[in-house]
Formats: sequence, C-alpha cells, structure tokens
Amino acid sequence: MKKKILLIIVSLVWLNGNAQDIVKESKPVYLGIDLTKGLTSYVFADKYFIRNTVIVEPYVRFASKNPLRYWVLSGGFAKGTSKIDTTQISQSQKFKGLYIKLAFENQYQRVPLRFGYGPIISFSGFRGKYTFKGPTYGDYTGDFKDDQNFAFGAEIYLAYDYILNKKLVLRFQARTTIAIRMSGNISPDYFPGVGITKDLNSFLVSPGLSAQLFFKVH
Amino acid sequence: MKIIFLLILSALLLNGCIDCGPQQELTIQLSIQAFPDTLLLKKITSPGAIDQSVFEEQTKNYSSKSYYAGSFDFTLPISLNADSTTYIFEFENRTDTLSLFYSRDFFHKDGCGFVVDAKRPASLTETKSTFKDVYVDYQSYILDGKVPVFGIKDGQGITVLVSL
Repeated sequence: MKKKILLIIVSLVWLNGNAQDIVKESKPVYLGIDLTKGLTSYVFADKYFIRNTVIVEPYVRFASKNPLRYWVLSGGFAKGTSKIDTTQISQSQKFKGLYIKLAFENQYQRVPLRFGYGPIISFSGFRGKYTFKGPTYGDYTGDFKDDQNFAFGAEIYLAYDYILNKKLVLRFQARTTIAIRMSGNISPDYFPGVGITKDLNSFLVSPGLSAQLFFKVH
Repeated sequence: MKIIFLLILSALLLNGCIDCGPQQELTIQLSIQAFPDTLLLKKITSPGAIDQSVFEEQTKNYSSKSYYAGSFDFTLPISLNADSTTYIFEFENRTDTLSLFYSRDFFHKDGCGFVVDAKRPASLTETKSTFKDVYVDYQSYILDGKVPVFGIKDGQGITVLVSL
C-alpha cells in the first residue's frame, strides 16, 4: 500500500519536474481556479447531491514547446456533507479530502476544443450516523468513522476556452473521473477529487461539468 | 445473441447474491409448546416497548393461525437499544415472564451498507424466565458468502422454545 502511494507520488514529482523544465523554455503560464464545484451545493441547497460543501481547486497551466500542448497541475480540497436520503440506513455522510491531479492537454486543430487526460490521487475521510428504525422499541442510532481512504485513477476531459481578454480565459469543461479505492469501508456518497459516487465501492466513476477561470501570469 | 443473453443470465443466477439480513428491528421466533385448546393466552406485553400493537396482533386469533407441530408460534421483536428484551405472557390462569439476552452487532457489509445482527450473549445467562423450560438457539440473521438468487432467505436468527 505504502509502496503504491510512494510510486504515484514519485511519478507525479517526476512529471512535475519535467513540466517545470518545459516552463523554463516556453510561455505562457496560467493560474486558474474552479468556479462551479464549490458554489453548486450552496446555490441549489438540498436539491443538489452535496450540501454546504467547500471545494477549492486551483490550477497551474504551463504551455509546452508545442503551442497546441499544455500541462495542467492542480490540487484540491473538499469538505462537506452529502444530501439527506431518508430511504437509506445512513442518511447522510460528512466527507473531507485532499487530492492532486495532473493533466496532459492537447488542442484540436479543427475544432476549438481541448482534450486532456492524466492521473489523480485522493486521500479522503468519511463520518456519519446510521439509524435502524425501531417501531416497537425505538430507533437505534450509531456513529461511523472511515478516515483513511486512498484512491488513485485518471481523469479525462474536453474543454472549451472562451477568451475574455488578454489576461483572462473562461473555461467550460466536461469530465469523467475513474478511480480505484485502495482502502476504506464505507460506500462514499461523494469522493473528493472524483465526484458523486453514491452506491459505488471499490471502483469509482463520476462525470461532471464545470467552469474555470484562468489568469495569465507569465 | 439469445444464447449469449441466456449464458449471462444463468451465470448471474448461479453466482448468487449477498445476504444483507433484515436491516431493521430484529425479530425472534418463539414457540410455546402446548396442546391445541389448552393454551389460554390472553395477551403478550413487553416493558420498554413504545408501541405494543405488534404484540396485540400476534395474540389476536393466535390459536387458529399459528399452531404447528405441537406448539404455538409467535414472531416477536427484540430491542436494538439493549442487550436484553423482556416479555410478559398473560394466560387465563397464570402469568409468565421471559427475559432474553443477546449481544447486538452493527457493522458495514460490502454490497449492503450497514447491517444488524444479534448473537449469543458474552455472559453465560441466556434467559431469565418463569416458564418450566426454555431453550434458545442463536443463529446469525445474516448468511455468509453467496446465497441463491431464488428462494433467498435471511439467516434463521434467534429461536426460542418454551414449555409451560
């Protein structure tokens, strides 16, 4: 388990190192932030899959020698609660997690879209309560804690960049993330870095739409 | 195409399912050994129960419905909030009590979510009772491994046999 984590971290560091080499030789560099992931749970309140969830996902985007290719490095933090589902024994979960993503991005020549793919690792924890209904003797409520979850996988996406001005770029993105969970017991409602994963256990898959704002710094 | 579909279906059926157990308030099967027309049970109550209606339902017309092979059978809930449940049986000419002890087990099972089971108590005391004889069989409420898709049944759970 430790070896696997180490291997992934070393690969990311290596990739990051290579990315930095590219930066030295080429331009530009963009800093970005996700605009939608953190807001949706507040805007739609209980109608959305997650509630009161803070998701911070910043990006650094480097151009490579080839002007059609980019590297995108990002990290993220998510902390929140899943939607209440009264049909379940465990009606809601609290989750917290940190994740790192790297993407290799290519721009299509004929259509104004970018295709990206790359690895993701996520460390997450889940807490909550479960209740067994007791019509005769009263309900039984217990606590659960599943703090050490580790998952690794890959994310692929299609993005459309809308250029606002010389410095700012608004990006619309459609993505799918797949990941394998190496540790943990509870079936997660939302796995930080992966997305909505209700009723999934070892193999996690989640699609999503988002918007990001990029600022040219170099 | 049909053959492939049939093969997949039969593979799924042969592979079986996971048993999650009742995932609700557990019940015991209680059998009172008696001859027909000799068991003059008026009512069953349980101290600590917030709703006695399930006991009223069990005792209503019990003699015509639940007599099987020399005993009257009842399905009674046990408390998930304590490691014992007490029942009071009021007969025409006597009253008996039965306290059943067990140990509760709540855990997460893959493919099921949270499940509940009740097992033999850690202490040696299984029951306290005014009945002449009491025999308890503790079986898990959740079957291990894969179980057949058709005719699926949860584990037997706790069964109690008493004689007056």
